[in-house]
Amino acid sequence: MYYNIKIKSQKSEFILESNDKLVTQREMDIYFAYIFNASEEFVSKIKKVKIVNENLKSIEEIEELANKSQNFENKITEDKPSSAKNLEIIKQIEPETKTPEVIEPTTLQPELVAKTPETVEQVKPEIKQIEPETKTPEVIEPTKLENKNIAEANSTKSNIEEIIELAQNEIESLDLSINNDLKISSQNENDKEEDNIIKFDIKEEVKAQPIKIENEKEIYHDNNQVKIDNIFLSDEKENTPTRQEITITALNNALEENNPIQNNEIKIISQNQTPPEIKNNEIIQNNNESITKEEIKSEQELVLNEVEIDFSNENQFNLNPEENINKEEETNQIQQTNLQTEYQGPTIDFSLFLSSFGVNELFDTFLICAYYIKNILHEQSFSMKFINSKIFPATGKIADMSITEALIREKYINTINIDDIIKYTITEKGEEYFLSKFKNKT
Amino acid sequence: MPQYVFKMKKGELEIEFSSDDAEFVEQQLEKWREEILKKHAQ
Repeated sequence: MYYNIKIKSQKSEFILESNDKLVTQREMDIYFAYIFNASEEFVSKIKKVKIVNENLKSIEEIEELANKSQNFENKITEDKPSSAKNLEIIKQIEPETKTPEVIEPTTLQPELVAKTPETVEQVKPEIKQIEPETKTPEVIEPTKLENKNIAEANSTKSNIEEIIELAQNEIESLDLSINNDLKISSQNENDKEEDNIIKFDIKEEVKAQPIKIENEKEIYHDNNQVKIDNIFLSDEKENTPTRQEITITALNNALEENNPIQNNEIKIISQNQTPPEIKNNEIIQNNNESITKEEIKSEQELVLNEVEIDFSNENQFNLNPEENINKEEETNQIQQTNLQTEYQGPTIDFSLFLSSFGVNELFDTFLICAYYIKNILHEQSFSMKFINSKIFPATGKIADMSITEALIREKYINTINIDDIIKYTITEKGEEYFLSKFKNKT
Repeated sequence: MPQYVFKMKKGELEIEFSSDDAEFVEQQLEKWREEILKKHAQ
């Protein structure tokens, strides 16, 4: 028969290998009580211990060990009669502890607490208290055990209560060993005092830093430095056109004049592309009306031009909103002059146009794009392919037929059939909805 | 010979008990079980 117990924590490991059933049982009870009564912090501080017990084969060996243990107990009581309360308890239990099993813990405990002899003395009596529990007729002759019935031990206290008490005693004794370790560490703290002195020197060096900072502040307040910053900022403001400025101004024109392109004959043309010829002879907004083939051709040209413009002019826009506000007046003046002649500024990208609304829903995005196509790009109709070529780069989404059906249901857009090609146009109701919903944002 | 290995954990702690004594294992586990039940009852 073999009995192995392992108790592991992150920092400690306890191993008990034994062929003795009683010893194993006792040790297991102790450490079981440890685990369920002692704090985990304490158990984690137990150092690695390995105990190997062997069966006591002969009575002679047991007696020898018993004598040794008695002598050891006497030494303890003589040397330190009033040092610990545990010793008094031992005296009361002594008649019971004269069994051979008592000896075993004495042989084991020097290994347990080999580093601190004081704790060995204190642990010993605790284990002896356990012995009345572990006494069984298996090891000892039945004649000797008659006076030591297990029932008697159970009558005074239950095994579990005794185990818990013993475990607590052991915890206290081991705590002392931990305290010893702490004392050792406190001795090492003397070395740390030297470190503190070094740290103090470092602090003095740190104190010198504010002087440097003050100098930096002086440099920071230098007039020349401020002037350079101002010059740098002013250059940026003058050279960089704003991104939202263009969208805001375009929207303002669209909102204030409702259809500035038609009324004022403004044509938004890319810088690199010539404007396609648009014939407004048969511009139609209703389903019952039609669009000429020439206009369809011009629409297709616009699609191509617009795609190129999206990529070429994208870097010309600036995202700084403060500059938009500062330049709003200037751009208004520019636009007023352009009302008389053709507007030669950059084409507004739909992604920039859309960004000023803060819209996430595809329904609104589709409607905004429809408004954008009609009022910014001057296109009276659009195909799904064309509008998705605007929506997808801006949102990463593609509008499907469910969106158009929903908008048609709301009468915000209409469908147009041109040469078996279905196209869409934004209705007046759609434009009114756009203006009412996004007027504040523009 | 049969072997019996039991592991118990409480937080970071782990108890492993192994033996080939079936009776003893049974007694000991029953004892632990009762103790745990008592502790929970409190």
